[in-house]
Amino acid sequence: MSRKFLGGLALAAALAAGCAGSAVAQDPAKLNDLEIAHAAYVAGDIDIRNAHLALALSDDPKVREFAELMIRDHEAVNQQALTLLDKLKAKPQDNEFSQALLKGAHENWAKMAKLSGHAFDKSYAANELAYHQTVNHVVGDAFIPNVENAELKTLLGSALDVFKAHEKHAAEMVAEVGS
Amino acid sequence: MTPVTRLGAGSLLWSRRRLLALLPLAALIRPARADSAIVEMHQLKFAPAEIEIAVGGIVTFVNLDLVPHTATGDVFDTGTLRHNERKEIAFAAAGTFPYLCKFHRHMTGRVVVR
Repeated sequence: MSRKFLGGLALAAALAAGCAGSAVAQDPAKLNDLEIAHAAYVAGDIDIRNAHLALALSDDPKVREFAELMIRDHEAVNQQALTLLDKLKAKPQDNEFSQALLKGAHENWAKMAKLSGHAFDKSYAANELAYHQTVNHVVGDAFIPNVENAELKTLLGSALDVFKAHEKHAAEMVAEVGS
Repeated sequence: MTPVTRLGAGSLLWSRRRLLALLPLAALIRPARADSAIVEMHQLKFAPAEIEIAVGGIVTFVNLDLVPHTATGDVFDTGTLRHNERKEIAFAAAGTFPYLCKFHRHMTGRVVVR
């Protein structure tokens, strides 16, 4: 089913990673620390906005519970990121990878907003699973190995623990919401 | 040296002999349970996941994760603990008290009070 809905986000990340030969977006493994901080923040913020869309459109208790968890957890992680950046007196740096993520997200939201009921729930669940798989791959294999600041590396490692738990939870949601 | 001092030394010697005599009995007694314990919420797990404390003991739950957690059982609830927040829970009665994080339900633990 809705592989096509699997997310502009996943697609954007794949494009950004160069998997589809994009000449526009940056390779996430080549971002500097401030660009990584920006991209990680944007990725979290996108998932918060995905969750708000789910709370607006879904009546499924499992979907709503997951969405509330995404808002609570990603807001907490992003707040910790901002606290660290304040401490380091650093300002996150916008970049093509972040822009590709956002562009994909906007495309995805436009598609998702046209859905309702079970169709939306299935699509949201599948998108969250794909999104977390993609983001976890980027954070684990591109951001963490390449980030230079030790505190940011630790923060990303702790965040990845959380995101991996989200990925498992999303897989359960996909199974529960059904096809 | 004053008589009080000599008397004190003699009492200490007597006490040591009594203690040594009681050692075999002590071996029969079960190891003491802690009056208090710390459970860390870390990497989306409770650590240790199971603890044993004495009646009247206190468990301190500490959240080391970036995201909020709870330790919620049938008879106790820490409420929401954010990063680096902690909450002490006193256990006044014996029993086994399972709990979980109500946000991350795969996070489970157990307090055994004896």
